[in-house]
Amino acid sequence: MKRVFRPLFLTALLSLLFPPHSRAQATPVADPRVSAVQDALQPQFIPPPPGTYTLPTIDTVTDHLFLDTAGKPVSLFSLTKQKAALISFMYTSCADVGGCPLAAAVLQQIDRLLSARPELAKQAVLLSVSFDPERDTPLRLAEVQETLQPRSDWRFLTTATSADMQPVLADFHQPAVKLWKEDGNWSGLFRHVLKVYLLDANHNVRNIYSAGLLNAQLVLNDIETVLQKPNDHSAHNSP
Amino acid sequence: MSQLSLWRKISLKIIVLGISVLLMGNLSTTLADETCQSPYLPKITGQEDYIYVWTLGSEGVGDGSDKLVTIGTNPKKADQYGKVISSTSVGGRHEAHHGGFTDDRRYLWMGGLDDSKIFVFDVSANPTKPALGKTIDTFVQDSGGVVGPHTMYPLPGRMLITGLSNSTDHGGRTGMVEYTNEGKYIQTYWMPKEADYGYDVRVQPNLNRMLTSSFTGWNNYMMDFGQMLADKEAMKRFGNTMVLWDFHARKPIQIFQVPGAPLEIRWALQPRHPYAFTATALTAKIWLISQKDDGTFEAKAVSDVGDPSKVPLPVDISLSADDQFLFVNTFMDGSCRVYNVSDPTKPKLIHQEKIGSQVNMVSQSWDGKRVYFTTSLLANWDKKGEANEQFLKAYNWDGKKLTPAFTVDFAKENLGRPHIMHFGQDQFYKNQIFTEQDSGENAALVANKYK
Repeated sequence: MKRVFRPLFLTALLSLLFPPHSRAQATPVADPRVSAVQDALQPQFIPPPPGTYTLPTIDTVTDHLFLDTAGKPVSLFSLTKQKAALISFMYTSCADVGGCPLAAAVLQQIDRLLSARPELAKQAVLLSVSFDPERDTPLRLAEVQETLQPRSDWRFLTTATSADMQPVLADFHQPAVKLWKEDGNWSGLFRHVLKVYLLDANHNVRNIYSAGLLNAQLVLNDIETVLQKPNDHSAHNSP
Repeated sequence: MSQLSLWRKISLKIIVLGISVLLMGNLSTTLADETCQSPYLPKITGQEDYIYVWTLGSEGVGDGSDKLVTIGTNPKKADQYGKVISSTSVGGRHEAHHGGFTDDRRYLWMGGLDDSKIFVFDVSANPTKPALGKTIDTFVQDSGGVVGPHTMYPLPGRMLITGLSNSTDHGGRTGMVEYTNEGKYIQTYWMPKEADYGYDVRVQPNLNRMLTSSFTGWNNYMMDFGQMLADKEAMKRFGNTMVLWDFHARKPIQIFQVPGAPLEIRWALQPRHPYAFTATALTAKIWLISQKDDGTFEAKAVSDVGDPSKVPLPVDISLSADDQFLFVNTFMDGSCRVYNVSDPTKPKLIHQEKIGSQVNMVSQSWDGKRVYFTTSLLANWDKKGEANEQFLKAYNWDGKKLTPAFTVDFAKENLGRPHIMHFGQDQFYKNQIFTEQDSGENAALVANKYK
């Protein structure tokens, strides 16, 4: 299948520069997705320092088997062992600027921040997991990884088939739905709510980020917080 | 130069250029959508097809139960437009009041203020007929004593729920509770001692700030309205504060004195508009909570609503997506006042419309062209006799005046007391397969269902 990641990504950016019907709008109203991109890349606040807040356990995940960029089987827990893990579900044909491209941009920021702190980087792993195994093969993900030039431990994972990915998405409660065209053919796109998950070393989900909360420094502070507080169960402060 | 290197150079240049344009704010796009929703909720584009109305059952009216009513709102679907399409009863009366979508917009969590039950409806499988799924009946126990689930606010993968009361004394002291979308309890955080009443919560993630407001407890909101007005001690037990929180840390950082029960909160929606509005029910004022140059916030009254001496009782408010118009409903005179708030410090009344004998909720589309109203406040506070009109009214808004579109009489339709509204749309869910349904040989069957 023809590679679509590059032209779709470029098309999305060009649509921002030259939005359709822009001159027809009497009162310009900012697109919330674009606002989310703007605020992710240029945050308006300084996040609270690591360890000054709690991140209670939201959920606990089980182990799953993936394929890495070399096509070798690798388990989730083998990658996240004794580390804080950031897991971003994506697909490389995504054209939603407030979706996967934004997540990739922010993960790259986090990667760079981690690489500047080697001791912290040893305790963290970034995982970009594609829920489009039909097109995002290990070879395709290897190309994307090459483009992004990771400097910390940032892996790109897929599965052999879509069926293999189902239990992963179900475990993380990450809805990802194919968008079908009126003629019954698949558009090639997914509707998915952008979600990036923070796991602690005990496989607990300690935070979930979507557009509007993907702030590289905030996420980095959360990584440090879960490393400092590995056993943070449900908060129930006294009335 | 290799193809990959060339692609990387071109991409970087376009990214830099695109970001420059973003930062200049040189963008104009409109979406048709509701304006009061959480920023984490995916927005519906285009014309809304349905309104889901959480309706309080009324003794002697139909089945007398609380229910979720679906009304058609798309004029292109003449057989549905302005009509009741379906109704899903939950059995019993729980003081149906408010609710909200999960962040994937598949489920509506609707609450009862009396017994604190939360009813979860699936609106995605068949948008014309929401299906009742689970009922969370352990809210008080899970939370450690919070009563009266009010605002149900979607966060990524979670629901943030405000309480109105507590199980110890049924007064106004209360807290906020978080659940996963699957209904698993996560945490409770109680309101600070200096401002311990609650009501609404709204998050502004771009500022890492959350605002809460304050109403009254179960003892008051379940009491007959006339009886409460005559009870001087009861009338002292209303909230007079708002709290500004560090959202990420879930910690209160500023408390504002806002006398007279500040209720609904609406953050401005446009970029770099660091302010929010509320209206006070008992003192009839619009308040502006805005960020100062030093990064802290201040709260100040910026306008009266009608004649405060007559206690018109401002209730729900709605801010247009372009931050230009603020719709403020007043329950006692059944009116909607529209203010131009392009200068948020100087709201200017530009239109007033008598909706009915009483009015509470107001919801508008993202493009601001359609506005919907419902009537019920609380079962024991709604007017009595002939003044107890119960309806949903739809209007068109052209920037200057409201023009009636259609009315659904909830009494004649034997439905009950309509309250909070949420929008639905076929196209949002059409031709989709959710991953847990996409199971090999079933995938084609499910796909065909939506063709």
